[in-house]
Amino acid sequence: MADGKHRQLPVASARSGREYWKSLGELAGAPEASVPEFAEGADLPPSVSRRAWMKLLGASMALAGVAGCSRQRGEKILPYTRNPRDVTPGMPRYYATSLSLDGFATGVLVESHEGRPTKVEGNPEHPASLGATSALDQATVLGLYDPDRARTPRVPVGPATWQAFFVRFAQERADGGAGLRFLLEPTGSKLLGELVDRLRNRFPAARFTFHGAGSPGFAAQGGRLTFGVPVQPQHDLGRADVVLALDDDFLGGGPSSLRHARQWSARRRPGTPSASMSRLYVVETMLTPTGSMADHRLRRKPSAVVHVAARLAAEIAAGPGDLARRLPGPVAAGLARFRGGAPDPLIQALARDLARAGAASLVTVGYRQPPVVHALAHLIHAMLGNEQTAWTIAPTLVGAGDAEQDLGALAAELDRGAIDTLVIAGGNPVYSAPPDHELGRRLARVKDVLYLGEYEDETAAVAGWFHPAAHVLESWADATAHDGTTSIVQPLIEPMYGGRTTAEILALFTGRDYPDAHRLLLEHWEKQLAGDFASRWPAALQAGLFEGTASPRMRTEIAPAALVLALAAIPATEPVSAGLEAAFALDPSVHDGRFTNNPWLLEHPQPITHLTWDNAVHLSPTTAGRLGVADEDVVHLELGGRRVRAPVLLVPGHADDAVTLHLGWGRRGSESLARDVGFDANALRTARAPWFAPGLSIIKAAGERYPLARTQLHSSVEGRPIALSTTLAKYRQDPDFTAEHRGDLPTMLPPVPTAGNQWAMTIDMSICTGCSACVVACQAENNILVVGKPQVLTGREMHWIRIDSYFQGDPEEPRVVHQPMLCQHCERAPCEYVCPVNATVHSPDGLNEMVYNRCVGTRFCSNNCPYKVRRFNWFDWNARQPANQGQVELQRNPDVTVRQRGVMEKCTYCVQRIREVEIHARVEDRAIRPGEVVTACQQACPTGAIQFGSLHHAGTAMVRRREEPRSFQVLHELGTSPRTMYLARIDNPNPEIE
Amino acid sequence: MDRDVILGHPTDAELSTQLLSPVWTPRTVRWWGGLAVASLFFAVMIVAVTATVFTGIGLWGNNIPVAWAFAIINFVWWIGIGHAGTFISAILLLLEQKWRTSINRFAEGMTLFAVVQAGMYPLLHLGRPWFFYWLVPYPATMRTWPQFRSALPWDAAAVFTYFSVSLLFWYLGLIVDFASLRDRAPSRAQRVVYGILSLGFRGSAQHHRHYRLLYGLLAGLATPLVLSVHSIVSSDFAMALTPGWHSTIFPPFFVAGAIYSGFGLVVTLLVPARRFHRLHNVITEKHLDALGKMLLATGWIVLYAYIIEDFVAWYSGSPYERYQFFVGRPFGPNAAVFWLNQLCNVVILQALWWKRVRQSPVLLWIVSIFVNIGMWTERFVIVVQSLQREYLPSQWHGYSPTYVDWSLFAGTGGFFLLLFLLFLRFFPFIPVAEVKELNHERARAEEG
Repeated sequence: MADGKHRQLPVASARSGREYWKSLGELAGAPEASVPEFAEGADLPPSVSRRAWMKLLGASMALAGVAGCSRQRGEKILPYTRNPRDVTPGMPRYYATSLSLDGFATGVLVESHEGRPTKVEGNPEHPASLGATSALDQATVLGLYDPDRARTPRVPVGPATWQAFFVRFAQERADGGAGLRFLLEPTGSKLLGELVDRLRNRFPAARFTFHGAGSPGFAAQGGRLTFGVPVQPQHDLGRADVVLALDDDFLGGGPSSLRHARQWSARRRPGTPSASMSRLYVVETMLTPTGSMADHRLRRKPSAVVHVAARLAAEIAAGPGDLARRLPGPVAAGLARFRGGAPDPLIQALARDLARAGAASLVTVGYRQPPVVHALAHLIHAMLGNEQTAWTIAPTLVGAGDAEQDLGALAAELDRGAIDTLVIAGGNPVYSAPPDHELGRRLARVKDVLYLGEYEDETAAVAGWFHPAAHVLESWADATAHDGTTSIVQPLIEPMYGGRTTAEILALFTGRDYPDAHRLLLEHWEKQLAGDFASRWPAALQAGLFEGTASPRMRTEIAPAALVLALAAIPATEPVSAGLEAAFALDPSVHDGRFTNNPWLLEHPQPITHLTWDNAVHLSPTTAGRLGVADEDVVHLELGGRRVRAPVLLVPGHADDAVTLHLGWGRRGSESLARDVGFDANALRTARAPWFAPGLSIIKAAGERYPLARTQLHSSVEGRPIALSTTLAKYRQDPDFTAEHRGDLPTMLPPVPTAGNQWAMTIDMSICTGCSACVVACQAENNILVVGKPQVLTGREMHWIRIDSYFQGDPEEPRVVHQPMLCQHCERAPCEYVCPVNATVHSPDGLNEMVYNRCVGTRFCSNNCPYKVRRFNWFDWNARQPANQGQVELQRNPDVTVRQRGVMEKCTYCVQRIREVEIHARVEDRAIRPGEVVTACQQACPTGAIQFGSLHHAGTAMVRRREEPRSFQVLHELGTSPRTMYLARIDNPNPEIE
Repeated sequence: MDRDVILGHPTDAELSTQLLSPVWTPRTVRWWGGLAVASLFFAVMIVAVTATVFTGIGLWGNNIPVAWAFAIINFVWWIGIGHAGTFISAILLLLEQKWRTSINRFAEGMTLFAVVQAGMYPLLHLGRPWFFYWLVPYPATMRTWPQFRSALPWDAAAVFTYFSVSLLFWYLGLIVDFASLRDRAPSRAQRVVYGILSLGFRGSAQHHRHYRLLYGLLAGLATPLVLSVHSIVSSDFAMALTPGWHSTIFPPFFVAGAIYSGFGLVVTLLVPARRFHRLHNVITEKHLDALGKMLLATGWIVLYAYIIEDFVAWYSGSPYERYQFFVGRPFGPNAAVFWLNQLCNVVILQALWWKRVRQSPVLLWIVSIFVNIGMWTERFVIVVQSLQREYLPSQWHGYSPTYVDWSLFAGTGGFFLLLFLLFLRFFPFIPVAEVKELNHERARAEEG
């Protein structure tokens, strides 16, 4: 491992006496010979020394506009002025920047302590965030400090400097670029768009490939199929009364999930029993956060979704109101075919429900469904006239027009040996591309492979030329949100290892010496904004985006020609299932493998399964029974001659005869954590069927077991009144159904003081999707350490907030309720009276406080906590777990104690944030304003399910919600008087469907 | 009755020779062997303790929710064993049970050594053992006191008090025999050591009068301790909300269980010692029979508590209690331990209804082994199985001990044995003076 981590190619020995040549290349006077013997900084210690760190800290001074030492950035960036909290000098600052995934940006604010980025928060002004963040966004800050990040640029003969790259690649080519290829990640960057154009001018024969495991582009192709032009679908869930998600986890992932979750949740909170709710139908394979929120959920193999969509479109077309007239005749005729066979009452009811909602309905389609399913959704929208809920914009991803080719074409060219230079900017395609492209083998045939990567990963291993990539928090760039809003990426810190951005690599090929991302960006936007630059640029830096740049709606007309053919290609009825289907999916924790070295995300309990540190073969209990496999059995998977070994995990509600396999695991790069976790499901994929494929065979490996570390082992409530739920209809009949689970109980104990601010929390289970962003947000805010898989197996994970998911009913068709569980801050806390040393005590403002310094570690408090939210430092996790060591220590929040071995810890209601606000209020001689204190979990929550504040701040969402009739306290009968109240989950099923 | 507790008509000199001689007869191979085994386990304990203190109790199998496990089980088990000695010495003395005479010293030594083992566990069990003294009310400069609503400071105080009084009581009883040893010891060194230990006791009537007064007083003082220590230990559980712990019957239940387990270990140790040291004349079948009856009586109190626990769990209507007693324990993780507990404490115990079993050293010894196992598994059921299945099913988790847990447990066994073997060697483990006194009383009674 050690030699892999610090891989350095051998360099020929120094000359002495007689003239020795290092290589035949040098003898021939080839350009490599000009490479210096040692790289810049090769004499520095391998890691960032304290001295180097102090230098890097100087960058923060540069951000403040003060001239300093030589490493600092000269240019000026401006702080976000409309901060969520009052910012004064000496306090942490927040800068607006953007994080991109699969080419789509999410605006974030990054907290910086003296030049040290420590926490990512959502940017409330950014349309893709609205103030919320995903778990992946939250964990990005840890990636910055990953000790495994690549540090040294290298060329085929050894470590090198940027100069060597310039000498080799910047010059004009004789072939007009015929041997030059670029393999880029999907991006919406306007700057990269311009650079691609410039490269096309300079090298007309060069070709560009955009490859991202998470963006197959089916949505755009669906637009081409329907309208003749590629489109990017846009949705407004806030206006939709009836929503159908076709294999689309729009609440759990995807480019607009945070915005969608916010919009959707606004329609799912019955503030009073008489309020209305939207209705959600989900057709999916494996339970996702979206599926777990569904009022009606159809479990289907991914290949069967198209039949549901087609049949549904046909039913709507044939339904009342002659909606088919809104479609071109041939298309309407093409749909009629799908009504054959026995009527499906469920789909008919769904069709009626959608038609009733009319314009206030919406159908969303997931990334892995083929273009024709996207097209069917467009047809349904056209029939129902949902212009307010669904529209399209022009694709925001950068393309290269005629010079663009797909990965398959590129792979074929590589095989022919026609390419001499391949530039790969990020994305680790050797790992993430379907293996039948055989990129690993084919890259070996290319003379020069230049890879810009954050890690010495699988692609770096076959790239002769490698340059460390700048982390996004070290980069200047621009990006585009899913709705077209242009977003700014500005650095929080000088690149720690001299990383470069994609723009700089591309600029190198335009012939620029020492390109600089900031200068490139300024030049680009000076040109774009012309006279407005001086006013608009600083505003954009402050806000993290250019206001009002969301793309306009496209005017589209259905073009029947291609569509009719595509519809005709769908079998009229669903074929009888034959064998097992493999369904590949992006991983909720590690996405396509880019986060697999991030310990927070590895230990992040996945929504629904609560699996950590591994991926698994997910299948339904029925299918498992048929195959004779059980949890943690090792199986051999075979698909088209490709094989992998993997452990099994049963998931209630999974579609039968299908198996969900998460991508992104089983990595073989040099990253220390990523190497040992999970199995590589990608090895089974093909380019032709990248997302689902029939013909999977599963054979149990006799007697082999593989332990899977899950943080929740038991998912039944055992009939206990813990996670209450009901339907909207029943709620209207009996609004006070939670009455016996709240309110005061007789007690002999003295009354609880009520003076001053009394902190409390309200959690609405109706809109908690179980996405678990709060878990990582809490981890980042509160310096919660990672414990590793063996310790999770033992039951020692340290998360202060967890998502309890309870399943009800038939294991094949379960109802799911998510209950975020954290310290309830009981007014009569059972932990307090059993502590022998007064280490856990009650504050006058209603917090159950944990005094780490006083704790001797008897753990009686944990035994007596009915909610089991206390976490114990069984070891010195700092010393014992390498994932907590090294540069990652720089991420720690200076406002929160790092706990030592042997003490208890738990949720504090983010007491450091409360005290910070209190101090500000005292300095300004005022009372704390309602809503001024925001906990980390609340801030991250995409749906706003978690609300926090003082009980005296009447009118805040926190107080209003707990006055709703459906509020309750968990284990109320124990008399603990928790300050955290829950709102029962309300579902809105279609009365037609029973 | 008195007739059966000493066989034959030994003279005082014979008794002295027989009962004091183990102190200076040459060490046997068997003794050395036992000492070697005990030392080996003691060494294991030292290693386990060192590892735990330097690395953290993460080396154990504990987790959340099972935050207490082996350490607390072993603590309660050892402290329970430690009840028999004082019960025999103090309560049976006050109740004038003659049969206690031959075995009380033995039982007291066992008590003391068991409490030493027990006392180690709560310290090791702390996350930060170096701050154990924060549980003690001392005038700290920070003006912090222990939190007296918690059972744990009381627990620490109760165990420490019990240890102190037991030590005093034991030592007081030894003074008379130390004096005999001083008078008969073959070497000068022994005479000096035992002379110092005997505190100048010369056997005068005055000395005897003071001695008896003090012994009676200490017995009176020790008696409530027998009841208080385990009552307080039981409140470590009873005051918690945990289903399976939250019960008002715990104090008497625990005290009965403690005495039961204590008598169990007395039998386990006494039967081999009687055989190896050929003490059939002073430890008679009468003694064994009485011990068997005590086991049966206290065992049935425990059994009654089991029944009441189950009844209350059912009667309470609480789904948490019902699940705990009727599903979690018999069918949940580690259910085998529950069934082993039932086997030992419910089924095998009934063998003691037969006099033949009570008076047969071998059979009684076998039963006593099951009593020890039964009481250890009972504590496992209470501590671990209760925590495995608490209120929120999402946090249900199993438990399995690690090799460090087992090493510590075996190690304290070794340490106990080590102390006990040294005790057998260097101390008169049958109270010579009291046996002689009993012998005289018997002779007088026969004459009368």
